[in-house]
Amino acid sequence: MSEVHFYRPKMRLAKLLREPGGKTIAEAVNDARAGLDTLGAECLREVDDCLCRIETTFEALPPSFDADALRNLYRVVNSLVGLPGVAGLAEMERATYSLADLLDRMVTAGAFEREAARVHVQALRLLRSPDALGAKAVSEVLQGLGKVREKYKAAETEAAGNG
Amino acid sequence: MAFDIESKARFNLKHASILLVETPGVNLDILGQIMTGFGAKSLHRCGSAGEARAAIGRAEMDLMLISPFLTDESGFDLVRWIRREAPDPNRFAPVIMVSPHTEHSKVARARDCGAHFLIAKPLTPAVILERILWVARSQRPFVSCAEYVGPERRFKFEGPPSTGGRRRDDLSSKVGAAIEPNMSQDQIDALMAPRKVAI
Repeated sequence: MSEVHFYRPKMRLAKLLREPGGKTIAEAVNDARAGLDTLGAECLREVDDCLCRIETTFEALPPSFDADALRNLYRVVNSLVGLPGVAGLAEMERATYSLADLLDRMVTAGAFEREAARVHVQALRLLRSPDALGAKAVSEVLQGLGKVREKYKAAETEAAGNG
Repeated sequence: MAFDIESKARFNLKHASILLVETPGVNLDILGQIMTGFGAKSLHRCGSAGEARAAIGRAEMDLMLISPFLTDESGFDLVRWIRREAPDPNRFAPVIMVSPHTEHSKVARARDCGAHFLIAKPLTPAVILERILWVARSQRPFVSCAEYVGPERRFKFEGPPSTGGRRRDDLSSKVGAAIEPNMSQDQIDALMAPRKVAI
């Protein structure tokens, strides 16, 4: 068995945080939000670039399961996670995370459900312009993605049970 | 207790030296804007693990925010290197990882790399600030062994060990039939009532 050592190094951060001056939590959160707002346009440009890359990569996927191709799509999708939220597209953020999770499950399970992925990619395009879609339709799209994921999870559980 | 984003409690990051490691471009800018909003002045922005290693060798860091997905190597490997080979005191600096979706196959790797926390994107200032303050307040001890170097991971109370709720030498959970009459209310009150103790 390997030897285990415990020690308590001094953390300078704790001391610095207590120094006089600084900001209140409320001021800091507001200032950080204001800073993020200045990145809105840049984030939207990056969101659009990523979305195009996702669509192109998805269309180039081979018809049957190909772990490397799916991992590549997963990486492209994952590079989008975090950006729509900052650009004010919360629903697109949820759909992006959902697609990343779905692709990861497909790679793990060794099974490719093209339609489940296609629905997500199309939803991303729709959710890029939520105002044009309308609140009711946005909610329906997200519910639909939830159902697709649940269906895939159920099939995955069943396959694991049979395996 | 929930984190109150309207709190008037003060903190000071002005003199803290903070390392930000993210893919170059807007992702790195997001981290930069958040930390600048918190009042940090000394930010070391690195777009790759290689740049981060050089910065860690040059300056003393008080906090590191690192993405697992970098262009040259995994952020998890970077954190493992920090914990095992970086110069003191950077080896012990708080590390918070900021991650998009984490692959199921890498969850254990994320847990074992030696970071204090993993925050899922999208990043919000409130969540990041809460984690920074929590890390500084909790000051978890460090553990070092062959398999793991990093902050103590057992910091959450998760109930009794997984033995079905009872250990082998615990008393039986089955209660038999009463063999004495119930206590009266006066007897119960007498048990509960505070009494003077003569020392």
